[in-house]
Amino acid sequence: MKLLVRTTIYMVFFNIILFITGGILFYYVFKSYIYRQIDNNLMVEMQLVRDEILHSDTLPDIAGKSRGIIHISLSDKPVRSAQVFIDTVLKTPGGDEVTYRYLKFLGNKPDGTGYFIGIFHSLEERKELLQVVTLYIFFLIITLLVFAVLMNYFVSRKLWSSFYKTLKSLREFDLSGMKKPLLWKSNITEFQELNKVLDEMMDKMILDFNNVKDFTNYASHEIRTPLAVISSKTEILMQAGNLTEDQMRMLIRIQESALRLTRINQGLLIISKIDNYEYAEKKEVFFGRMIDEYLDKLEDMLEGKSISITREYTGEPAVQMHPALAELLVINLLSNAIKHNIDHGIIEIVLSENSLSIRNTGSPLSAPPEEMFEKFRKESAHSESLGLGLSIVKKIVDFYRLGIEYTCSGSLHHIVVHFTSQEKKLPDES
Amino acid sequence: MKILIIEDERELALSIEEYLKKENQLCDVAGNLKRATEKMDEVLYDCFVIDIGLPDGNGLDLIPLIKERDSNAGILILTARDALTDKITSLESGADDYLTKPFRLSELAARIKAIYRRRNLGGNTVIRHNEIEVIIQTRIVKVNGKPLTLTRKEYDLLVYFLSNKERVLSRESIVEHLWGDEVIMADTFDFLYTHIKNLRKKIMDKGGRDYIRSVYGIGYRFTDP
Repeated sequence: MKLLVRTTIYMVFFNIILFITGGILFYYVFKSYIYRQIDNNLMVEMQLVRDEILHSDTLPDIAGKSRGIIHISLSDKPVRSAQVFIDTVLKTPGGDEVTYRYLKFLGNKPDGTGYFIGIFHSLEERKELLQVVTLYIFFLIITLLVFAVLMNYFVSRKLWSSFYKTLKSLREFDLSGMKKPLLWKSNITEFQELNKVLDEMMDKMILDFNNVKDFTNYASHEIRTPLAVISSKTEILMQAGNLTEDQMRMLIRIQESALRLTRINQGLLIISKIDNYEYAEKKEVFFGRMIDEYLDKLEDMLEGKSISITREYTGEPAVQMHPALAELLVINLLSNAIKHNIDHGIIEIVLSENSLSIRNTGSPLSAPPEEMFEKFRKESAHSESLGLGLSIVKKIVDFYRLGIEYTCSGSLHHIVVHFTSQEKKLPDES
Repeated sequence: MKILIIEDERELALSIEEYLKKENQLCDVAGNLKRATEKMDEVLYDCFVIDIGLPDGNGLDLIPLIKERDSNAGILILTARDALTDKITSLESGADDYLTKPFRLSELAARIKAIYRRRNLGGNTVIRHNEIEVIIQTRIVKVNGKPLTLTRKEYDLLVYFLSNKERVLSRESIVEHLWGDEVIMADTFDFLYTHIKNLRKKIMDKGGRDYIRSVYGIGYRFTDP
């Protein structure tokens, strides 16, 4: 959910709660204020009546005096002075029900006889006032709420705009392309700080990335030259002519080990370079042609092993890849299918727009097929192989977000590279 | 053929020199760019073996200077870096071929000779060894003037041997030259054996001598019987 939507929702939610409680509170305060006012009026009235009775010894008359006296009765005996408020509903002559505030009070005349008088005051007009005020308050609240939400929305949008700009710039950050985005200058301290921290982080990332890259390149370079010396010196030594068979064998082992070390070094270097996005270049690649070229080179070897190959090209996958990586992918998959094949085996290659499928015979696997993608994983029968081929394949497949499946039923191995999953597997941007 | 080896690792340069010198080829060694340009001013070389990483600069920078002096000179680049990207830059900058360190000297010799033939003789080269004649351009092989029908691999094998005469070539190096290093299997050497047997037989059938000697089951050597 977007930040702006979320703050607006919170804002509306808390404002509604605030306004509802405020409204209810206001209603009761106002109502009690009105009651108190009416009660005060009634009390003043009562006092006037009491004073009148005390001074003139006459009882006010119901009809003549307007002041809402509704009930007068007398008692022969003195009564205890008291007063009590009551809410009551009376019927008007028209039949409408009207609520009244009613004050009963008892007292004694100067002659010692008691009286009981009831005065009342209509609550209707006050109620109307309450209703009108409540309605106004309600409209006021609604207007306030709308304004508050709108204001919050626009203010937040304005405030967060620096943040969104920074976010947009960050998306352009491409470590492999060494493109460091220029972050927008903000005049808000927090965002200034955020931009500063991000800027430093990107600098650090680029520095680290370059350091790792330099290190792998340097290490690999520095290892190769001494290996070249070892390899060349053994080859020179081999030409000496006065060596025994055992000595010759040893020399060959030294040379082969040096070359093997090179291949491991190279394989690991390729994996780390893929990880470092160093093969960002993309071109159209033609898998059919690559397969043909490679198999052509090995034609006689395949014939020698009586491996029959069927090729079926129904289309070319429309993928853009680094040409060297595409070639590595094809060569590793094919050489794997050939190397681990059996005499009189088969290889079935099906290339379509969506997938490259290679099915081959071979010895059954002793471990689950997925584990074959791990580094240095190999079936013991072929100690010459480095165990890096399939992990390079996996790296390439992951790098281009392709899909790969390796299934093995008995002696039939089946690897499928899916080219269509390229889009589906893109990470969710939200 | 005059070859200039521009390589800062002295031991490696000496190995290359020693291997190539045996065939009466004139080899010079330069350890850096400066020395290399000085040498180029003194002698007209046919072929250059250049290491990319030199102490005073990038070996590829020499290519324009070489082309300026003699556009026909062959250039082979040695790289100790990532083969995938250096391959492209080397060839784009005008080099004829490239090799990644470490390499086999036999492979280097074969590549240099191939470059030389392509460059200087317009491909119209004939490699001659006694009664054997190989016409590179048309890939025709003759023994005592009679044409020999060879498979592609047998032809490649013969040219490889002729580029490394009198040398012990390990089976591994031959296999790598013919098929690349990805498909080395337990029975790969049997194929090699079959190919060599067939090549020998074909040459001898046309009255040629048996030049290919097996070396203690380690490899082979092309030598006069």
